[in-house]
Order: sequence, then structure tokens, then C-alpha cells
Amino acid sequence: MSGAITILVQDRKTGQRRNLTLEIDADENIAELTKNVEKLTHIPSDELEVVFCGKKLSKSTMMKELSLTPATKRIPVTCEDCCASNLFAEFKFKCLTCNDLAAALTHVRGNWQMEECCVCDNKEKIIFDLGCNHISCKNCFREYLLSTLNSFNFINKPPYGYTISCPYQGCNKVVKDVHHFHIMGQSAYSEYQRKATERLILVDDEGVTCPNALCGQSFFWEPYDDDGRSQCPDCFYTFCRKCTEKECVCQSDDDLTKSTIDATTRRCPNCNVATERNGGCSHIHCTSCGMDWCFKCVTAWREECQWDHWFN
Amino acid sequence: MAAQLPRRIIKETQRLLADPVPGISANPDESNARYFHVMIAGPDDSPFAGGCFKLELFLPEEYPMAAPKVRFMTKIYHPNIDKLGRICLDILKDKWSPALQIRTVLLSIQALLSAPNPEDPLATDVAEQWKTNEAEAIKTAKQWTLSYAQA
Repeated sequence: MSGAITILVQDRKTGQRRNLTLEIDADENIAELTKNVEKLTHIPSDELEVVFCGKKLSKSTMMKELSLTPATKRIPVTCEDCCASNLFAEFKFKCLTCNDLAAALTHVRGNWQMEECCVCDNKEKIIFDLGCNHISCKNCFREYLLSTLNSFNFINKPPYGYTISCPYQGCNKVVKDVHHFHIMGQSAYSEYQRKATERLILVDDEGVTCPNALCGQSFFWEPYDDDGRSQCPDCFYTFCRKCTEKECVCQSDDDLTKSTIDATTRRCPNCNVATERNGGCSHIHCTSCGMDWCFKCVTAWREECQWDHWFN
Repeated sequence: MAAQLPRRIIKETQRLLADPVPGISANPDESNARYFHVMIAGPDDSPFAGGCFKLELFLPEEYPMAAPKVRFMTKIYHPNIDKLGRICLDILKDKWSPALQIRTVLLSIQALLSAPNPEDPLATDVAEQWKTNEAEAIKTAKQWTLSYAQA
């Protein structure tokens, strides 16, 4: 075995880093490797420590003991069933008992450099990093998720679905696989799934939630041959989608609930959800669809919007 | 005290006291470590110069997952602060991040005094004057600072 490897040289005091590419030989040991690094960096070799896969190596370790192989080697395969070729083998984990495939949690890693959590300042071993190097510990990330679930502040980011951004201020990296949300525990994860589905259906024109108090199932109604009524596929309750009543009251004027809602709320210009303003400024951030709008003009929030309104 | 104070609040408090931000003081209440008495000096380059503004800051149970609650106790003429002292500042609402701290919040409030933003106002009458007649608004702000914000 011989070839080149890339190594990262980091000064522990200043945190300064640089990459080096070195020719190596299988019959070399770590002591010889540090000598080569010394030649290139002028750092005395006895001050260098070599870390590989999170472990400090002793000076006598031979390079051939490390089983280094080219990182990009892939195994070409052909499918026995459909005869598709030019494929490469993929390796996955699965449970021996239930046969379920396990998702790899790519945002979770070891805290190799023992950096501080951006929320609590602690140095924990297992951390979340959404690919932006902003580090948060497992506990803080769980708290952050639970608090986001509580007010359902998840953001809808296709193709990932309802997800969460990095807790660091202004960072817009998001969790790319919602399997990470299992860290909240099973019941909170189920709640997340339920709320995310409801929210998705709420913002969709063809989505509807069953008004039967004992049901609450969310579903998509079929747009063909429509008479304005839908039947819940779960409890078979049939209702008018507009007034959500079994016997439609859309035409009657004496519906107090409806008239009170109409009188006290304004509807989000994007998703039409009834919105009541009980204080604060006119800048409304819709908790249903995420739209920013002006309560006075009932249009998308623009810098001039509110201003023009006062003039009229 | 009912519940143990999180380590992060203790650390933040210690740092605020040992290494205060210039122009800002924040002291925890004797009977409630989550309640802070805050003083912000009006920035020199603003109509609030020479003023000393009293604020209250409260860390809710969910802090740092939820933003601190901050309110001006001293009367102030500013388009982003209403009659009750409530502040219109994005990081206190939807732009809050658990990585922000008491220190960064107070710095942002100090910056808001230097740069009033009439485009996203809370006190609409103040904002209107600020935009139509800035000179007059600045004059009123200076008067209010003299009348109400003297230490």
C-alpha cells in the first residue's frame, strides 16, 4: 500500500487549521509520519499528536495497521431481477427483529474538537450540526424541538416537509431528515406527525378536516362532480365544507358564531385563515401558512403598505 | 426559590455583572433571579443622548427556548416603542434564537435607540410624525428625554 492522504493540522491553542497532503507508505510508522509533517510545517514532531477516527495513535503504530483504502471505491452491481446494470451497491442498517431499515442520522456527530454548545455553552460529547458548524448539544436540540412543537413553528421546506432551522441566530440551514425528530421521544414524534399532516392539509385548497368532534380526521376531498359537500373517509360524517355543518347553514343570516368571527377577525390573504389581532403592531405573521401580512391593508407585508394606509 | 435556576442563566448573570456592556447595566432582582432591572443610556448619536432609560426584563420558564420579555419603564418617544413600553423588535418575536442572550437583546435595544425604524412601528402616531416631520419628531424625542429620562 502506498499513496497520498490528506491530513488536518490543528493548533490546539489558537484553533488554527490547515490541510496537508502527504505521500505515505504502508511500512512507515506514525513517528515517521510526524517527521514528514515537521518537514512541511516546521512544527517539532514531538509536539504533534496524531488522531485517527477519534483515537490518539501511538508513535509505533504502522500505517498498514490502519486499513487505509481509497475513499471513493464503489462496488458495481447488476440487479438479478430487472437486469439493470451500471448500479453501485449501497449499504444500510436494518433491525434483525422487525426487518425495518434504520435511517442514518447525518446531523448527529461526535464533538471531536470539544466545542461549546451555542445554546448552553456546555461541551457535550454528542452534538447536532446541520452542516453549518453551529453546534448544539443533544439536550438543547431536544428542548429546541419540543418548544417548536409546542407552538408548531416548524417551517415547510419541500422536499423535507415541516422542518426546523439551525438554532443559531440567522442561520437558515435546516434538518434534512425528520427522523432526527425521534430524539423528542415517541409520543412527541407522533404529535409532530399528526400536526404536520393537519397543517399540510389546512394550507392545501383541496384539504379538509372532519368537523365531527369525535373524529377530526384530515383528508383531501375529490374535486370532480363537486356539490360543496364531503364525506369523511374515516367516520363517514357528511358535511358542507364551507360552514362545516351537517345541514348547511351557509344561506341563513342568523348564525351568530359566523357573524361574530366575521366581525372580529380578518382573513390571511394567503391561506384565508381567520385571524384575530389582540395587541401589538399590524405586522402579522400567519401561524398557519407563514405569510407576513399587514392587518390594516390585508395584503402581503410591504414596507410602504402600512404607511400608505394611514394616509388614506 | 421554587425551581433550580438553569446553569445558563447563572452564567449569563455572572458575566453581565463582571463584564457589563458599555452604557447598559442589568441587575437581577433580590427576590427573583429571573427578573432584571435594566438601565440603558441613550446613545450619543441619537435624540435620546443624555437620557437614562429604565427597563424591566423577565426570563420566562421556557428561556432560552422562548425570548425574554422586555419593556421600557421610562416614558420614551420612539416609533418602535408604544405607550406601555412594549418594544417592536424582531428578535423578541419570530426571529428569536436560543443562541441569543440577555446581552445581545440589550445591545439590539440600544441599537434601536440609535436607529428608529418607522417602517415597522408599534406606536403608529409616533411613527407617522417621524416619517412626515423628522425634525419635529427628533425635537419631541429630545424633550421627552429631558423630562422623563433623567437619572
